[in-house]
Amino acid sequence: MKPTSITLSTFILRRAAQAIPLLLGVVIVNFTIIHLAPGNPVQVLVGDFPAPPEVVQTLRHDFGLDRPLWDQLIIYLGKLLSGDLGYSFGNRQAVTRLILERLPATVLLSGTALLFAAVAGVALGVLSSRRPNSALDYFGSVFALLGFSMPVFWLGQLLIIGVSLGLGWLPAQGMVSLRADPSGWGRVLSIGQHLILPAATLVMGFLAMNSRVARSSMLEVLRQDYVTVARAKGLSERRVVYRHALRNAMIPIVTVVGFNLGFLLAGSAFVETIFAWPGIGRLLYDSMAARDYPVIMGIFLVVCTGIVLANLLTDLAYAYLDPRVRYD
Amino acid sequence: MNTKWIVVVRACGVMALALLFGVCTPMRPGRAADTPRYGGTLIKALGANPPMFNSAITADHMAVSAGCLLYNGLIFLDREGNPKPELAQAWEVKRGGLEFVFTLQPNAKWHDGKPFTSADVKFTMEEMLAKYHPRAKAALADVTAIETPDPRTVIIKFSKVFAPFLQVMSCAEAPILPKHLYEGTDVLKNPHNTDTPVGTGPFKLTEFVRGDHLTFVRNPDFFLPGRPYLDRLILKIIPDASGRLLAFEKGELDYIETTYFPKQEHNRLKNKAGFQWKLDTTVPEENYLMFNTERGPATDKRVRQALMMAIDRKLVLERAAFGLGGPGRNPIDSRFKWAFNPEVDYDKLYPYDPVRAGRLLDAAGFPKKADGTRFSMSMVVMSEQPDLPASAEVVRSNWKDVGVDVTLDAVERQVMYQRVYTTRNYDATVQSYTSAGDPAIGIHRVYKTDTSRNPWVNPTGYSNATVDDLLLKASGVVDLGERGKFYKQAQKILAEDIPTAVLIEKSSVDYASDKFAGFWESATFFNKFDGVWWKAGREKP
Repeated sequence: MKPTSITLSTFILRRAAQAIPLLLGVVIVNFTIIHLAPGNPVQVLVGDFPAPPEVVQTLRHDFGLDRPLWDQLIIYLGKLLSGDLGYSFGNRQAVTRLILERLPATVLLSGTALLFAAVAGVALGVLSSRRPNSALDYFGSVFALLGFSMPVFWLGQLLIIGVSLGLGWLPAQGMVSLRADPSGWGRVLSIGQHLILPAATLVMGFLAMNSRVARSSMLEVLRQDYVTVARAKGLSERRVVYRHALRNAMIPIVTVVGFNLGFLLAGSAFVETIFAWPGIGRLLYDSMAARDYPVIMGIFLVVCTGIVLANLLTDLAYAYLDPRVRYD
Repeated sequence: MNTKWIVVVRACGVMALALLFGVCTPMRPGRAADTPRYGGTLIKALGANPPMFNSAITADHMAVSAGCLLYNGLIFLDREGNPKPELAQAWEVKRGGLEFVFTLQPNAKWHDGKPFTSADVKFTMEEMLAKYHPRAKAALADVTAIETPDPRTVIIKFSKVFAPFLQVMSCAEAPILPKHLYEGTDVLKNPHNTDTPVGTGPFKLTEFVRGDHLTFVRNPDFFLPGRPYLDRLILKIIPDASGRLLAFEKGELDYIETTYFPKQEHNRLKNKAGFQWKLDTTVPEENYLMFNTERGPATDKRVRQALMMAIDRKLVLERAAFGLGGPGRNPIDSRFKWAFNPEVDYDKLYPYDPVRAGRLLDAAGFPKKADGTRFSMSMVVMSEQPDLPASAEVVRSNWKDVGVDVTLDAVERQVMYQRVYTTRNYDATVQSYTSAGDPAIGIHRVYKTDTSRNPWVNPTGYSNATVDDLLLKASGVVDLGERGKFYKQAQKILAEDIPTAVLIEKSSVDYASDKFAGFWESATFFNKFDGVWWKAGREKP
């Protein structure tokens, strides 16, 4: 049955309603765990020197840290209901503003990585599946093994040392050249140059995963009877693979790509730190070290919401790709 | 000898002298030390976002790094740590250190064009530094009056002498902020702290892209004639240590201060073309071994003495500081020559001797058991600063040789605060402290009795009324010779009781691109960037 607009909207509303208790649970668990972790944001604020107790007390009072934990949780939940993610101790800024400032950089990095991992991963997987045990297939297997095995912080360092420092082809750190301070298309070009290494680092593991899933899924579909029939009808191999087989092989691939999104945001924290990329992954890293509770919780909430949305989009994509899938 | 030979001999002579000079001084100076030029952009590393710019209410490293480009202190400390004029053109010390009379710069203006006056100094001291600054508050604790008889004169009167008062008046400790923008507001929440800082300093903030960089531009109305020389100074935020170094080697950064420079790279880079470097660019810093004197075998002074004798401090220096600095010599850093007592010598008291250390532990009632161990200890160190786990590893290995089994926990800063300072749930720790330029500011807190359990205050539980009294007296006289006498007495007691020991005296090292000159005018790396200039710059502003 083809989905209708009514069933689609009902489905989305139902999923949104299911997401509310999930996100509430996430907020409460995150709040409790973060506040139970050892550490004190006020100490970070006053610096590495014994601060007078009254200064510490003033700051604790100003940030509401002198209230009981459950009291702080209720106040935080109340703020969330009005769309307020709180106030950053360390940055002295509204958390919403901080996240919105940094989100575009992360979306650019993660989006580029996700897109490349999806397109190149599927392409590599499909090509490998067409010629199993060929040189290309072995290359794909070795590449996948390396991609999975290499930690991003190590790969990032290698790329900086080799490509940036050794060959001098690409910049090592940041998002745009500060010395040249370009504008217009020059700025776009500079951002593009700065994007290549962090995106390549972030993409590697996901590309490997996507290519392996695409390969096995395609191999399975290519053994189906309808593919044999298509070939027997005299369709070109290209048409059989890309028009008939690939669409059906896409369901597990879509699942993996949707799954990638959550891990991309987590992985971007490392990559953004290694490459000084000013996104929310870096913000999370800095905020963890500074015990900037509102920022940590704000980012977790945004990431969790992103994962819920990604899951929803994945489910919608299932229905689009396979008409047998129903919204109910 | 013909002319050609004379030229060759002269060239060889010059080269020999240059080589000799290069070898004999701990610095490879830039290409030219001639007239400063104008223009250029210097990019300097910063580890994280500054939480604010107002370093009169916080001692945060990032805030001070950014704040000292925007603000000035009354003085700055020169390379030898002596106070030199900054916002104060001159000063006079009266009544044996109970009264300071400062004459202010006549041409200093705030970035918004308003004149800088003595009222700004009085306001900053009374409403910010004395109330909120973690260090300056102590320095101003005994102030009885701050008088401003005219716009260019400030008189500060004390009930008790605080010897290093002038040292605290530098930008790193006591920047001066504008009264007209803070008066009548909550100074902790004033938007000029975070968004629109206004100072008298050599640079003005034009852009702050959080998590990425801060751009400062030249203040053309700066009160020191002709300065600053740079058109722009950018603080590039790079949290990852290796990322900072790679960016510096790639030429994306022009300056890395010691805080961010991985010391193990010094030998690899020190002869590389394109860089200049300098040792001891900041005030003395030390790695201390601290015992929890309130629990376990380390409550016994004899055990602490034996464990001290079991440590190879030269190996600690080699492994943790890569030879940059020296082994600890006694409880006060030997670079404070006026305070250091050469008669109290760890090398004589506790020479590295594992056999003798073992005998002392036997005598203290801790003989080796059947499994070869005597007792176990927990050692907690902060993981973020690599020289601390490295120091602790050597200590653990040394103590294992005498039968002491150490469980080493390298934990993140916040967890370390909790384990070492708040709950004192540790047996031994290695900590890094700055002297802040004077023992009364940075070293007293290591030994003085303190029950606050605040971070960076004596976590050992050691309390000795005589030591406390000697330290108090040492900060209560201005004359260095007199002060030194008290410190020298304290060192004898502290070396014998040994609740805490200086493991190594660390040397700092800064690196800079040799395209620039004029670094390191000050004893702290935070300020005096107004003297830095680009060699390829223009002749006039």
